[in-house]
Amino acid sequence: MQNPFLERKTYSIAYGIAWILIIGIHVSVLYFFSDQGLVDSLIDGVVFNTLFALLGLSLWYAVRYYDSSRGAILDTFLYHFGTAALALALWLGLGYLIMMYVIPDLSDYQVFLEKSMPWRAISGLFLYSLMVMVYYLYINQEDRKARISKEADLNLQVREAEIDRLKSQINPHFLFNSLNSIASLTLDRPKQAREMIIKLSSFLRSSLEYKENELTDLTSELDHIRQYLEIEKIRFGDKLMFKFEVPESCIDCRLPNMILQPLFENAIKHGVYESTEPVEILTKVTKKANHLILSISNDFDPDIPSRKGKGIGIQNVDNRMQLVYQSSNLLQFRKTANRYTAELIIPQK
Amino acid sequence: MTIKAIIIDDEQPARNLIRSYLQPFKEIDVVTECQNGFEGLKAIQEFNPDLIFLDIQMPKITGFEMLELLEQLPVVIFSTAYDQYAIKAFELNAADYLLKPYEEERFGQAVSRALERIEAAKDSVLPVKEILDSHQTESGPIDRIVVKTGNKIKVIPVEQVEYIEAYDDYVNIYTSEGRFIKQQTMGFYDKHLNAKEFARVHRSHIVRLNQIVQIEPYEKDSKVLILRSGVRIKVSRSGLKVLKDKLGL
Repeated sequence: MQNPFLERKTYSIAYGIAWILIIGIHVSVLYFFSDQGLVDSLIDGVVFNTLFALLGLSLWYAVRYYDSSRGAILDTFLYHFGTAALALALWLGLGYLIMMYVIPDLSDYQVFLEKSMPWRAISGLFLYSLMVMVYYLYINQEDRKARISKEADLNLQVREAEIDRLKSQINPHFLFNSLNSIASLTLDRPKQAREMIIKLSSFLRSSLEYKENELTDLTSELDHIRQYLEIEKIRFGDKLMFKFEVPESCIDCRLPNMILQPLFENAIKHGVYESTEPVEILTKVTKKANHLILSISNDFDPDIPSRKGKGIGIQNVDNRMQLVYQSSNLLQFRKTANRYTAELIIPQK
Repeated sequence: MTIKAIIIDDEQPARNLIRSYLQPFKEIDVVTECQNGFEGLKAIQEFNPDLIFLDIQMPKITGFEMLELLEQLPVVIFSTAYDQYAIKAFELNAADYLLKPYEEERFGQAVSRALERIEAAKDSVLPVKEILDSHQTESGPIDRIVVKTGNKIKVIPVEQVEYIEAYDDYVNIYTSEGRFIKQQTMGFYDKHLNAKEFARVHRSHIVRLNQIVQIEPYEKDSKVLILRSGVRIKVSRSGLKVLKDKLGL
């Protein structure tokens, strides 16, 4: 931040006008109330106030580069007391010396000048306080503006992150292909179209409502997955088969919200999307000691080299598991000749 | 005149929709429907259609990869939920690119455009070869190559490619499993194989760097490469420079 009176033209002009006014008052007081000659009054007013105006500009640095938030109020007060004493001594000393040179007839004036010194010091102190206050006000205002725009920036970033998260939640191609299927179903199977719209809606609703750090029970998590699979089933027909083996004793187990979705998406993507043969997705749930173990396996075609890399979805599952349970290796993958298995281990309390 | 058309899409509802949208076009006869690129390729060779409706992401091989395997291209209308392939599709001279889901009216426009094109290009079908160089321009290096062997289609991951050799209008692709022939230019592979893994050592040869076991002098001021498989490949002077650069010699 630069000195506002130097940096901005309007502020510089305002500063100039303020000082011209002060000079006017100063000169009038000397001329009308202190019985000084017009020339002496004018010179006095111009010299002392111009000096203070210049000094005032440098006070900016005293304010700006002293971090008042660090120390106690007393420290700040003492600091300014010291600065003020120094500034006033400089001001009055310089002013006195200049006047000695420029006043044509010193005899009367010098006596007046020396007698008026205490008053000048008091008015100087007043001007000093005023300037410092203006500077503090300005800094405060600028800080607030900066903070507000920073907050807005931050808000924007948070929202963008949220949108990214949603995007990764709902695969747009899944959505558009599903909508295309609905368009097709409306032609001759309106009932099925309606069912699909409802499934898609409730799938989207639960995707949008999900909160990252909440736990849910296995039943509702699997319901969500069933919706997803049924939508895919309409698209792929007999090519997609799915089976769940979930013992009654596990249905109340807790697990992170929406943690399964990416695993099923992965199974569909590498199994169903890439295969010409029917693919079965088998979900087995077991409980061992204090762990719920979910295994999701799918057929895949070993002849087709898989396309690049592990998806961001899987990465997210892994990261979330680590965050929630403070333990790594909770997500593992196994590959046999033609079956691919993802295993998720969920600690229970 | 009847226009023969084939619908290639892995989703039954998507195929139904196209069929239904085609009803007003009495001159178009859908001779068959296919669920993937393999079936599509076979059907195209069998029926020699004028027009195909083609999805891109399908099992085994993509719609683009299927087109690469054709000697001659029918007029193509792409129908896909993916918008990132549009540029590539038009570079392939597609009649149109439909984004799922699409309106009947939009579909009609695409078909009309395709029909005009079929009418105009009755005698001069664009050979695939001419346009394939533009294929794959926007994405990174290719990661697999689809070839035909007899009646079968094989997908070769580029990691398995040992070297590629020019062969008239074709290239021979050598892997540990043998030789595969493909209609493609050397220039295409020079451009689209990962430059960190492959080097064009000669006008007629591209070699996978980690296959090279030795570089030997050959006649006067020329060299020959010996590959892991024992194959010897001549290196041109400019090829040697490229090779030295890549190997950091």
